[in-house]
Amino acid sequence: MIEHQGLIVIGENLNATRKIKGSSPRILKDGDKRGLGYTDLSGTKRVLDLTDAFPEDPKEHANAMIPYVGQCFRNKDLKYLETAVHAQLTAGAHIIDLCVDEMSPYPEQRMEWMRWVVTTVQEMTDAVVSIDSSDPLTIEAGLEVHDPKKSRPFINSVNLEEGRNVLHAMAKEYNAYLAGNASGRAGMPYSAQERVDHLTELSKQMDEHGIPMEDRFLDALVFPVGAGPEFGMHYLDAIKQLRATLPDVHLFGGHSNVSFGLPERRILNDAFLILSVLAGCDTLMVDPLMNPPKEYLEFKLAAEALMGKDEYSLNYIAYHRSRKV
Amino acid sequence: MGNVPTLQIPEGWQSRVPAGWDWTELWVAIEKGKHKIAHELVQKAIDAQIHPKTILDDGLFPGFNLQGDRFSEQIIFIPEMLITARAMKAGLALIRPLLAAAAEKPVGTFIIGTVLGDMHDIGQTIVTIMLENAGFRVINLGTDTHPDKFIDAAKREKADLVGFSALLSTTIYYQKVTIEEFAKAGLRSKVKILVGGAPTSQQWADEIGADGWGKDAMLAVQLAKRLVKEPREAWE
Repeated sequence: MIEHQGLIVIGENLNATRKIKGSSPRILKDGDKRGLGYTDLSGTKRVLDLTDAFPEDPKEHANAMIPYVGQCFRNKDLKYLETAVHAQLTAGAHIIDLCVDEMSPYPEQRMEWMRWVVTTVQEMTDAVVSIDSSDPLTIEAGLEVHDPKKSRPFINSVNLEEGRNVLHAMAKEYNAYLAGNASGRAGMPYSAQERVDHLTELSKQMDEHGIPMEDRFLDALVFPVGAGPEFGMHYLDAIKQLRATLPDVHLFGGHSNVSFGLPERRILNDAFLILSVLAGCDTLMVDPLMNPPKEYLEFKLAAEALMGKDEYSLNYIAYHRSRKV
Repeated sequence: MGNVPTLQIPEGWQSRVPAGWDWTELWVAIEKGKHKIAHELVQKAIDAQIHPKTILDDGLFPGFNLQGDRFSEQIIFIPEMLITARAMKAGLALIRPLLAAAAEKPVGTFIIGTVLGDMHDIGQTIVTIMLENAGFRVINLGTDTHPDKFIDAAKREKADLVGFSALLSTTIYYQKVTIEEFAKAGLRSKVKILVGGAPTSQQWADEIGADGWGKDAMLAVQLAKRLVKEPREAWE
């Protein structure tokens, strides 16, 4: 069981796709060297070396997007890694997502990176780690080295696409939580209904494999509103419908995708997380440092009390007691 | 900071329009993404007997290129680029049949699609609109496209350029495979090949032997315009 107070949080920060703009004020310069400044767990100021991730031509530096998490993995910078794990946990994450897909286009190399990152992060925490890849072989590589004595593994994710359905059996074999996303056999969903249809079918496949309801995390897929103004509502409407038909599964999305390509993403994410909670999400996948989960937990508990969904406000009162020193 | 893009006013535009004509309103309409106004102004230009190629080059491109450059410099955001593309499309819809009637050839034929195993299409849809706006004939094969489908389409359409998008680091490998298949089919020297998508890079494009990398939609269009002029083996 994942211990939580009403909202499960998946910290998305250890994904090799994460990038920082070359002109960001957080980038420190020292001669030809470039780095990301951070403060480690003991309070010491440190620098994650990003020199190798910058383009050769300095004229391209300002507009370049630097894959800093990937570079942390490549440098095997354990201090940065440990800081990123614990900062997310302190901010309220229950599950630490680990994605190395962008480390290499070659499957064997990705598998090697997944083995390294799962082993290394499990040495740093007992929290659940999410083994995240669009390639089942990479997921299997992570599961093989995963230490179940520390926590149950989390698979992210199965869908209806051919080749991914092996993950149902893998979840069973490794006693893993299983995330499933709303992609269909023939492509991405472009309406609320397609999301509902795909996830309903996927959930039936999970029935056949005997995956318990409480181990299922259904991802209705969030697309950026910058690319299509209707994408936000597609997601929210799907969550609302799925919550009605599948009351006992976990529902979530990669919520911060919604703001991709737009300025001041925190503001959009903030509103979207609140809308998602109202629609029926009980799990959030976020950068817990940018959008601290406590606010959404409190909003959810208060909203449910106010809307009569928390009978006699008992959950709300329990939350209050839990915080009393 | 990078460059601050400015409106590039086409040289000698006055010589191609009736006396007293002014394109400023259309440039601004495209820049601000006012598609209804763009539609009206292009119709007005057609009614004034201005050559469709002139409307395209002098009336539509300046505002479109300005926003494109701003987008590449990360001064404007995706939705702002999208409304400019929509306004451009509204104008093009009126002049495209006239261009065809005036025997104006498209800039080139471009086959686009997302590689095998990859279902993402938001990015390549945007690139398609931008390429069409820039005067290319675009054949969009959609997502999850097998290398054979790219090859068949390239042959059938006598393509100048082929572009494949991949949005997952687990599928960009198929960009490499698809290029290899073009080589095996003996077609590699007949087409220029572009790759793009979030996990890709210039380094990756070089590694797999692509002719170019489209960092973003606007740069992909600029690259296509440049590559289409480079020598290639002719289709029979």
